[in-house]
Amino acid sequence: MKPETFIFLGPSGCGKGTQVALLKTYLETHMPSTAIISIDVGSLFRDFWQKGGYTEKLSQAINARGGLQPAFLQVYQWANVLVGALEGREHIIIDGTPRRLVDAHIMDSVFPFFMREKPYFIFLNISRDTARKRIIERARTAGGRPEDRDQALIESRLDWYDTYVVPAIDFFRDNARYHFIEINGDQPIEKVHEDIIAAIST
Amino acid sequence: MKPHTFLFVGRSGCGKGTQKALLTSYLSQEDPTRRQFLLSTGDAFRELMERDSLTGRTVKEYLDHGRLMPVFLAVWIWSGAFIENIRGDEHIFIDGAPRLLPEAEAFDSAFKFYGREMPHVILVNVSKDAARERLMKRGRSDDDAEAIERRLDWYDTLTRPALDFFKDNLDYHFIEVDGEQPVEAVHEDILSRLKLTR
Repeated sequence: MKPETFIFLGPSGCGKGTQVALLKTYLETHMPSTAIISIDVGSLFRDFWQKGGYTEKLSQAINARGGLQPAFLQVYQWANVLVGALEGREHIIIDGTPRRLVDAHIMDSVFPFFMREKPYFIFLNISRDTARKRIIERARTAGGRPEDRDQALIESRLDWYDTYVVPAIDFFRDNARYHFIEINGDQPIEKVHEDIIAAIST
Repeated sequence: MKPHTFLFVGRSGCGKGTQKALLTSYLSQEDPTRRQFLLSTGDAFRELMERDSLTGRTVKEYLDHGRLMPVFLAVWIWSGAFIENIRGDEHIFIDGAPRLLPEAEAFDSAFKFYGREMPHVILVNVSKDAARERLMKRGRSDDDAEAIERRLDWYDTLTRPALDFFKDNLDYHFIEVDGEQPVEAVHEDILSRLKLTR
């Protein structure tokens, strides 16, 4: 396997974080000499807010009221990692973006520039009901995220997903420059992982 | 005077850099206590190519061949500059962006995020021939004949839709001036169309 690019997307609660971790372990085992650049946009934002500057505070306030971050900041977070760290011999895993069609168009410009092999777009699909249940479960665990604890915010995020994220996913779906893989996320974790590995190994 | 946002757009060689400098001078006098933040994306790309990284080397290759930078990189450059510099109380001057429609949309997301009301988009119009002549004279390192033609072409196919995004948008004050006049006349035109009040 040459250095590959994997983009994970799906509704909140679909298990992206878990599956990214399992994929990383798989890649580290089977290709130990290939480094992995792993981009988790949510976590990059959480670090960003710690910096406390003018932009950082505005951005944090948006998160506190359950809003979506502006497109330019989304792009900044993942682009910053690639510009700073990519040397060309690494796998890239991107989790949590794009969130709207313009983000998808902008991300589409990355791969030809860095001469990446045809990326894998892994869509973890779960129903809205499952998403809601899992977000609530996650809110009950210790260290849960503040935006998960407000019922109204949960619904508006699920609405947002249907209106804005789905068109972004569709951009990659019928796009010959990507391997589009749709996986049923409403299965046990190990089975989802097996499905993903099977899809990228063909 | 409240804080204003100015975007100078137009073909390579239209004189937007010059006009931006004249406007910043003018505002330094008219509104001396207000900070100014100046962003030139072309300069930022030329700096980026000095870096010894995959990105830096690829940027240099693109610049050497007159190829348009990928939109993600343009957005990264000015987003980083905004994050580092914007405090909310300054006039902002941008030249050399946007060059592509998704970049225009990304700018829109930034202006709304920062609460920048009614940004002024100043299109300095020159014909393709006039631009070509000026670029050949300018003799910058990324200005060989082939690169110049490429840049003139992508302006028409790729950049014009980005400018139309602002032109047909009620949230923006879009003005077009004839860039083929003498420099001072273009500046006067811009000032009279901007109608900046206290």
